[in-house]
Amino acid sequence: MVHLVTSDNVEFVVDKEVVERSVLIKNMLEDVGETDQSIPLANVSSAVLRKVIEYCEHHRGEPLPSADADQNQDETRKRTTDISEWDQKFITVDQEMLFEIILAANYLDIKSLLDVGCKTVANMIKGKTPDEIRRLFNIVNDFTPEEEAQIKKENEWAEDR
Amino acid sequence: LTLLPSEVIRQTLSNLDWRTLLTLRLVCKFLCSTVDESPSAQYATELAVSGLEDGRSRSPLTVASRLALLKERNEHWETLQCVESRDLPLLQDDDEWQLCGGVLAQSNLLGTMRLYQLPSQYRNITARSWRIPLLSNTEDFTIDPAQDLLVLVEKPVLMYVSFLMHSYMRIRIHPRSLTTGHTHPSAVEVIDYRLYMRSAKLEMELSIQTCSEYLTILFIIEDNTSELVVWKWKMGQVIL
Repeated sequence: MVHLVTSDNVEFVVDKEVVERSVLIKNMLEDVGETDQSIPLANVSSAVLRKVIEYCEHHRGEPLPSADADQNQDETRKRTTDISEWDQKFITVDQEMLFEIILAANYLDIKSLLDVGCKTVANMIKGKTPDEIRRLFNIVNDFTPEEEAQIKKENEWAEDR
Repeated sequence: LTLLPSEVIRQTLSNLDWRTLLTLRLVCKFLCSTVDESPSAQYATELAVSGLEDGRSRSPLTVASRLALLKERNEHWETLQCVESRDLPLLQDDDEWQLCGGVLAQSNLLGTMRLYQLPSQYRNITARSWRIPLLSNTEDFTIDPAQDLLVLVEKPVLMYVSFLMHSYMRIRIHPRSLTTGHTHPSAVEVIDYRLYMRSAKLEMELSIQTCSEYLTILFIIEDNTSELVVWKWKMGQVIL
């Protein structure tokens, strides 16, 4: 069992096999060896870690993508924005939580979870107008009207396609 | 969204099609520059500009090197500069030839046909040349390398049916394999067709074309009674 302490000081006791889906923690454990000491995760809150562990529990036992499979992974990732049913349900959370999960997956180095997160964001963006995207993510339009016209012009070639 | 680390944003972008990427450029300065700097986004839009699609091959090329290859290809198209050129002599002056699907076929219609597969570094195709025997009475041919198909048409023969007091042109078509020259593995050996003409003395030309499972021949006859026939070349039946 591995002890993890979150940023809001909650301790989680998790199966080693489950927590090792995080490459960061796996490497840490390999470095320290057998230990009862808890691992502090200063960047992850308990609410987020609970979700991350739920994900790792569900996918336990699945083969981890190896380092040299990275390239192929990139390829398959590019090919499809499909997400499995369970993952889809799992990732149906509010936007703040979604970004927190992505950040945690990135920090903890859990490739498949990061992938699900990125695909979800991509799916949110697809088919929307620039204005809708701004509203969705609270982005301020920092272009001057001239700059905006310039980019529209640059994009023009695509209009008849 | 803009608060996410750049590598996460780049990974998100790699899931998007070029149309969405263009929309993102209009959202704010940050996303515009991120899209412009991302190799996978560049590759996606550059492909769209060229009217191409990613081959989705399992080739070990990274997105960045694919982008470089694509840019190189487009530059060559713009300047019409060849990566390499080769001179292929015609066998004789009166050779028939056809260039289709990266294969050059040439023949004097007597005896053999010489085939040359043009190399392509982008599609990983190497140069290759081979010969296949033809019928001695070949009138015309067409090739369709995508289907490994070579269609040979025999010289039309005038047939006279004495008791019916009429005549017709016997057309014999041979669907063959382009690589071996034998009968195409999924086709009949020969397709027979009777072309009825008002007068046997008229001149006739033919023009052959294939498209997936269909084969068409346009018989251009002097007196404007031309005829277009469509077959399913695998079965040999007339469709039209």
